[in-house]
Amino acid sequence: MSGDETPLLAARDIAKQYGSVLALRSADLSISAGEIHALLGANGAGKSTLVKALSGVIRPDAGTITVSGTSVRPSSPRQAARLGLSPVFQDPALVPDLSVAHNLRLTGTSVEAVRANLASMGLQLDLRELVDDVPLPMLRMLDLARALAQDPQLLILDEITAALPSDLAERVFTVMRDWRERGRSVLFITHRLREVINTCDRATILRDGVNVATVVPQEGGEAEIVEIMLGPEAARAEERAAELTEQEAPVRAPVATATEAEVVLEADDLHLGSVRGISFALHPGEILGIAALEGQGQDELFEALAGQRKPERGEIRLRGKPLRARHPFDAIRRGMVLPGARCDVSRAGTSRRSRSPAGSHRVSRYSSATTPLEASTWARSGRCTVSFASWPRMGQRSSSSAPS
Amino acid sequence: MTAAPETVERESRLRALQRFLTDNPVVILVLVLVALFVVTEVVNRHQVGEPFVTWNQISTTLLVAAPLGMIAGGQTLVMLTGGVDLSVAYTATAAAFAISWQGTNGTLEGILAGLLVGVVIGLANGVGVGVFRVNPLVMTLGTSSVIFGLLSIYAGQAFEKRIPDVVTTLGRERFHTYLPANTLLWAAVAAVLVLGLSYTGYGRMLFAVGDNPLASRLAGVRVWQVLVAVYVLCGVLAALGGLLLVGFTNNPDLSLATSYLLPSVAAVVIGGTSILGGWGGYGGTILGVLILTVLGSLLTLLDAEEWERQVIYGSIIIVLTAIYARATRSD
Amino acid sequence: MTSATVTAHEYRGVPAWRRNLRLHGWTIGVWLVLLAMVPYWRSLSQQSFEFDIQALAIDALPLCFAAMAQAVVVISGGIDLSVGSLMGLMNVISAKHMIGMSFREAILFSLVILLLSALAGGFTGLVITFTRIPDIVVTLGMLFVWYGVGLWVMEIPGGGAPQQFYDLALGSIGSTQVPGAMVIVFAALVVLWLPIRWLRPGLSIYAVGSNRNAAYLSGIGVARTRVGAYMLGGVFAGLAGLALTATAGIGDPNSGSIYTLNSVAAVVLGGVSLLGGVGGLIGPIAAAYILTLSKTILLIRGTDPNYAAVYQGILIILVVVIGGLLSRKTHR
Repeated sequence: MSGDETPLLAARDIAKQYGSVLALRSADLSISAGEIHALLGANGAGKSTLVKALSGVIRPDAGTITVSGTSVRPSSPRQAARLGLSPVFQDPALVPDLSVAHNLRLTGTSVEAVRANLASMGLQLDLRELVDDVPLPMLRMLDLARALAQDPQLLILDEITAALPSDLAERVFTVMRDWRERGRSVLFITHRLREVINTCDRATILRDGVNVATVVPQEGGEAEIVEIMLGPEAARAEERAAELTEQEAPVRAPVATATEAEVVLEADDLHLGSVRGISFALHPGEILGIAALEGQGQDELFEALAGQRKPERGEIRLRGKPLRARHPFDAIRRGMVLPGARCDVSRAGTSRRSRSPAGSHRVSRYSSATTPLEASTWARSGRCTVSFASWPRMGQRSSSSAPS
Repeated sequence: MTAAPETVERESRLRALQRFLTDNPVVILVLVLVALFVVTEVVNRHQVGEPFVTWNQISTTLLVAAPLGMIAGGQTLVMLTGGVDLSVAYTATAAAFAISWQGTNGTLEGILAGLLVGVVIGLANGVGVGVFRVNPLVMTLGTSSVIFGLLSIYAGQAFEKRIPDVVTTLGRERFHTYLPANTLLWAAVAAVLVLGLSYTGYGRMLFAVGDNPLASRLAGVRVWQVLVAVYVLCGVLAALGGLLLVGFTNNPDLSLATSYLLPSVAAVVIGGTSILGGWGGYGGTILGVLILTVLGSLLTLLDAEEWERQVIYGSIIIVLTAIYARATRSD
Repeated sequence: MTSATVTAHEYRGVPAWRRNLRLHGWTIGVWLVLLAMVPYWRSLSQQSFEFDIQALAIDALPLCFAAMAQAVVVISGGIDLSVGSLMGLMNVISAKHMIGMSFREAILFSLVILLLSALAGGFTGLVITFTRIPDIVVTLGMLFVWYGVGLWVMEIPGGGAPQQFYDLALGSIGSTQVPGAMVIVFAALVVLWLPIRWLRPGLSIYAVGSNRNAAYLSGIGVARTRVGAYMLGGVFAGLAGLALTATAGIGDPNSGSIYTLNSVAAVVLGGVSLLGGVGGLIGPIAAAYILTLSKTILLIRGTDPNYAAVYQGILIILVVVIGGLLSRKTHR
């Protein structure tokens, strides 16, 4: 990784504007052969936009990209693949109504290679399955196997681990290390800093569409990265929020009184989809944080609380009375407020109505129910909040949580 | 990004214009309408030697436009929710028959029967789309097939017809020589629609449902109720259109409103209501209706052959929508 | 809080029968319905089987092709409201020019017609992808345009074609029990659709209709594929126009008008999802026969033929309602 040799990939001054939103101001990125390079940044820092520019999904407004010293302008994912750049996008790039095998034929990928890659990751999948039937974690692994089958110089993994349970994520890291050993490179995007520190050789950090630093993760550690990612202002704002809550609001009711106090919201052994037996009780003034990996049942839990879906088993009680909502309207009438209701529940990646690819604005999977500040204000007035957040979400930590 | 300062300025001016047009999409349509009037005026002076833009002509334009305005009003509401109603033409025809059939029993009975037909058909469509979640295209296609069948069976039989005087007055009379009665009704309906869409909760719900049904549901909107109501409203407005038409012709006929189906969709589309739902309004539709009507007069004036009319008509739908989409596209 | 995780490696998959049911159940169901109608139809009819099946095949021929044209476009995620008027246009062009031709010339001219209609369909597709206006609006506009051009070509019904050309559709092939009109439909299916169905071009059409974004990320030229689907739809519409010439014997600019909505009905009945990406061409063919046969049955029973429209409307709605309920149940 010496600076003298030509980098495998070098992007300079990449800029991209969507309408009035400046997604990338001026981003540089340089990846050497044989390294695992992390791309980090808070939400909206421009990571995905940069990935899309590298893989030919969008055309940047400005900037240059060189691969092994030659200037390129990938104008489609197919062309990028020919240049040796294989991306795994944030959303599965698999057509839901076709079988896995047909999807492979569509991209001209060798079925044998994919099958071998899956097998080497310890996975089995009947390739005649319809993509629509295959669970999300498996689709992510399939995306990876397909990208590997193209034998790329640079493997680009955009938040692939977000939807993976830890055992599968571990396999992804093994693949990445193997890839490095073969002298190839990986560009890895994630929100989990632990993964970066354990696996990545270098990390480029984006903030507000500009690359602010390139660091060696093992040296600076988590704290340094977070500070660079959030920037001084954000850090100060966090502090202020923390001060506010400490000074003005002892958010959590003392545990002793909480048990005596009336229970406002109670979930009793809820079963629904991948939710298997969730129970909790909320007292006035409490904030309950719910944190989980993608697809671990929080969508279903939210839908159940919102009155959108009926639990298969178990009960939700509002002030002791069962909430048998047949429609969100019933839940709202009973006093449940659902700000930031997620629009594109759970199938954001594969929904049929995703519009044109270039201008596609991804629906945020997890808008937490409220911001920490709102939640604490709400709590002070003696009401309670269930706050949904993906985990761990940088710069948006839940301010407090009650034991479940 | 590096760009020369003058291009930046030009770009920002262009952007400002675009923003202005995005915020006031009706401006483009008004310009098109004015241009059409001017062209017609010039052609008329050239060919007939008389001005076209006279009070009399404007009054005639409104008289001709009003039935389409009614039918397109219902279509606008439905399209705002992301649907489309292909049964409006037969609904109008069926209402016309109902009026002339029950007109023998009295004026009120006749009009009520007509409106009832609209309600029933709208209810059927609404239940299909809202409750059983049938694709609107298929649902209204199905109901129009049913209405058409029933109409051709029963309308073919001889029965006593009487179209109430009120209806004929509404359909063809003009007050003070220049003010068509049907335009008064249209204006009243238009006021209700325009104000209702922007200021009532139900109006806003229509936009919400068209924009994102799931989010609307999570926000506590009972989507199916909104949909049933919108198709009923559409049925009633189509029935009112049928009332004006039969008042004008004074004779119900199986093909009375057939030629209004596609123009009703075209007027809404030209008026800038998105066929995907959630965006648009009745103001644009009114202009769309007027544009189509004036275009019709212009083509008559030019002595255009039927085929030329059809081709121009089709092209104008595409071209206007394209210009419109381009001008108001935000990115 | 405990929440069991469905990890991928434990995933057992969907049983093959459920997958096949989901993929082919509807098509098989429509064909079974068609077969079930046959005994009833035969029990009513006074005519010989040969005569009846011949009549049915001829009656249904234009609708079969119209349904195939619509199906290709709908699978690609679009909808073509101009199918009927494009058919009408091709009908009048062919009838106007074929009238004095020899059979051989007529066949060659048919190829010209197919080329023209492919270009017309491709033009529609180009307008859609270039202007980015919704399909339904553009094809609504093209409905008027093609109808207008049709009127320009031939204002009042007329024209014709050589007798052997009629015989292609009206005659039978080999045994008298095999109507030529039916053979033509399946020949077109085998020649034009099946070869590409499972290869990249066909799969791309499905992919674009199923999820445009995923298709694009998979490296498919979305615009190119959509234009291609409209071109292929145009070819089928051209065949439908030729079928009108052969079965009606003349050209009539209005002849196609009923086929736009009927083709949508056949496609829906045939198991093609209006959302795109699901279904095939074999189901819509069966649906076209069902729609034609139900009209025939009403006619034989002496029912006012206008009831056919009533029943057809109710049938379409019921089928879609039931289909929707079924798919919701199997999906959850």
